[in-house]
Amino acid sequence: MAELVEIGRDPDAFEVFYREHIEKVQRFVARRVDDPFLAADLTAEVFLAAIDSAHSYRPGRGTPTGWLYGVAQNVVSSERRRQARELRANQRISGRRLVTPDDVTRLEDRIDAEAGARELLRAMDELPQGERAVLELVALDGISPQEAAQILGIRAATARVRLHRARARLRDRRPPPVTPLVDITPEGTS
Amino acid sequence: MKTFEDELLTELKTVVAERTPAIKSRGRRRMVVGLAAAVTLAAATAIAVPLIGGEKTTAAAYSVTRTPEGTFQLTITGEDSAAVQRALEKTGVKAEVKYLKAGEFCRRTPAGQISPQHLLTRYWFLMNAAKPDGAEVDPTRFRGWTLIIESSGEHGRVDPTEGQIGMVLRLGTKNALSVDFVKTGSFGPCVVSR
Repeated sequence: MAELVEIGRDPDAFEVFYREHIEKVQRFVARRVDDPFLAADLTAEVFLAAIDSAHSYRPGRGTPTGWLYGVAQNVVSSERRRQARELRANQRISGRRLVTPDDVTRLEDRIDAEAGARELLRAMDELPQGERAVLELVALDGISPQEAAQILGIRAATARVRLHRARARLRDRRPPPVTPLVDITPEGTS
Repeated sequence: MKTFEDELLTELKTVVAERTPAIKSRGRRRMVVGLAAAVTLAAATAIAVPLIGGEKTTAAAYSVTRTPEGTFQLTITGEDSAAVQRALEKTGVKAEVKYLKAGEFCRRTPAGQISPQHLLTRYWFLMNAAKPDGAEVDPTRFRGWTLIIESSGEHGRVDPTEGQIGMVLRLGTKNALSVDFVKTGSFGPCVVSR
């Protein structure tokens, strides 16, 4: 495709990028949230953030897909911190507003297909953030440790060490209690 | 019937199309802002974050570095939010910087919240946070906008050996660091809430 920077200023270039990545982004989100409406909001937010920050992409720092995963991870982790009400109030495009009843069934199917990934994510809750970030990308999203390092802006050796530590910690601990990933319930979705 | 994915594409393409005139008119001057964000309220500890060169004008709670190309980097390493705000405004960007306690956040009045159509680049910093030399910003693109930085809780967990600032943003739910460009005049003062 054309240079990634074009997606921030050329609607046609953006469409090519969107069609190539929409499913990847939806799966990425479905591995982390189990509410189809919140997933729709976050999907919209990931692409908005990509549009805003396309100018910052540097080919030497990873592939466009890897870069987009970095964007997606920031959006999802940001959502975990912010209250859902604030997220929606600030959103330029409300993803959930675009969702039809037919879409809900389809989005839920995708979310169901990723149930195992979310279970794994819950098991990572108590890991230090640095280790969790690497493990998420590698274990959940199937990204190589080297590319995960690029996405997170750390050295490959550091990523490997964190990965090793994270796996060791998970091996050493008992099975975790099942708790919600996000301690907030978006209005109208509970 | 159009699917969610089709509808979303249509809306996003509109967003891209609306951005185009503003981007075409932007000048060459660029600013680089990086937050090392060691804004632990209790202590102002300097953190080793690589700078991009140029003349260092201040090195206490914050530093502003200007490059020969006219780019800027701001590094926040302390507790003086007013000084950070002044440093940003010297680079040509109107700014409002608030440091809050853990669990606190700003409610903006009179609307209560910042209106979505007045919010420009909410994630511009988050996207660039993993870069040790900060995020790139073109000040000419943000005329008429205010950079709002709201930071609450403890943000001093930067790994100085790696110069990594991205992790600063991956905080627990009781901490927050938001960096947004908001249309000047569209929001009221910060009312601290919990």
